[in-house]
Amino acid sequence: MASSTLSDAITQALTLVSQADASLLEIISLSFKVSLSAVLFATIIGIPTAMLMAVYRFRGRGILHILIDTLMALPPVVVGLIVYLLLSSSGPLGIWGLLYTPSAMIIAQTLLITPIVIALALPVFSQHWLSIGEQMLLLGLKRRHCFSVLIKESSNSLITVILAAFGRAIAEIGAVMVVGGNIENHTRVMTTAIAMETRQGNLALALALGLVLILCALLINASAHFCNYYYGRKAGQQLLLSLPNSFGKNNDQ
Amino acid sequence: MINSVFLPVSFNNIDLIISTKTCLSDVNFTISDNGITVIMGSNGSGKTLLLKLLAGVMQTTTGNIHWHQQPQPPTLTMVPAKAVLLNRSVWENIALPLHYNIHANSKRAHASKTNSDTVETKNKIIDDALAWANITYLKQRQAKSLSTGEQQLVALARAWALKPQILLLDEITANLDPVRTQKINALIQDLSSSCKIILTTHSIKQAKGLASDILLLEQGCVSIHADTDTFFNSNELQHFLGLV
Repeated sequence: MASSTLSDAITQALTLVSQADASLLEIISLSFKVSLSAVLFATIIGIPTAMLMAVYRFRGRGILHILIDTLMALPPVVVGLIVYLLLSSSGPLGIWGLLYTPSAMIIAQTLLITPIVIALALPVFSQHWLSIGEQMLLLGLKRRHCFSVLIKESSNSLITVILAAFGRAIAEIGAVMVVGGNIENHTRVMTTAIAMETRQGNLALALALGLVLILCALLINASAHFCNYYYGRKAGQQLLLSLPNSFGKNNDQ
Repeated sequence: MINSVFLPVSFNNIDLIISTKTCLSDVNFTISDNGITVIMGSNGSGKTLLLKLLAGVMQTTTGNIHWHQQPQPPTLTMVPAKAVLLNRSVWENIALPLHYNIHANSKRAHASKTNSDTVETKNKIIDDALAWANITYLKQRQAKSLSTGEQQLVALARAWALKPQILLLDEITANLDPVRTQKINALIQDLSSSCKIILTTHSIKQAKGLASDILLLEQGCVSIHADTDTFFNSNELQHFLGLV
């Protein structure tokens, strides 16, 4: 009985995906919009922060490192709760009226993945700085000149870092559920829709969305491997960083 | 071609302690203002540390390095035992530091050169550097895909392009075959006519062929610092080679 229900659901899911169902497309489109925006902001904040931490030694660097590691381990639902408290009508940023909007979801996901971007980019920059930093200084470059050099030297690994952050963002459910509210045609994304459709017994749509998520995971991992392979061949060296398997992990309900 | 107006440098009572280990102890000597000074010594004797102190990338624990009658230290650069090249073409590897140095110099001199003048000057220096090291044919190759010897030539050409007053070479031929070593020795000899060179090496042959004066380090202390002839007749060398 259960197996026939499952096979029916899979058949329906494949039909929905192949027919590019409108509600499915809307949910997928919002998911990508939110997660890509969050990745963009996290990259803008995270990459320079990681680079500064790698190149400069300053007071409080160790504490900052511990803080970032701690933030990386924060449960998404807690991040959602913090953003909820900030954006709720009685919160300090309540005046913006962002709660239960895609903007609130972008803020929550940015907070969630920025520490991941920093924590993953920091060893990449540190390693490159260790191998080229002293020589660059001896060639007359100032530390600030080395930023663009470091970005270029680390670009292949940074693509992997950004893909890992995107994987983490698009598979996240706890924070977006709390601050987005899973409102139909407004803040419903793939993960929140899967949870809701499963609860309501609408397994076909839930599975269809699940298939898209799995496809995303496949594409992200394939892209990361391609980048590693391509740049590794180009540079004539093996790359040291592989994509962390963050997909679907640490996502509490 | 390369700047040549600079003055000698003195190491005065230098001690260097790293994590409770005394790496250099009571180092005193003066390096002359021309020719090639060779620093010899067994592994871990402190040769590279001495170069790093001179380059300013490390600080002494006690003592000081005194640049005679110079308001500021002369320009210098260093080529390590294993060339540190960037993940880009040979041409770009030479162009990158040159770009920042030309930019900094023109800012310092308040020069009114246009961008096209600067680019033209830079391109000419790079082409000259490649021709000097006889590696023009490698110009467009990815630097990291080159052999160790070729990489070392690129690093040397890059240092040449910067026209330093002092060039520090840290066991630059340590990983090279005899033919390549000979070629690099010829380039070092050529460079020494226009800039001061301080070279560390384990090769007695290289030291004999290139040095104007030789400093021997043993366990972080200066064992002897003398001109080449005196050094090769000294008891310290015999002791270093284990002959006495």
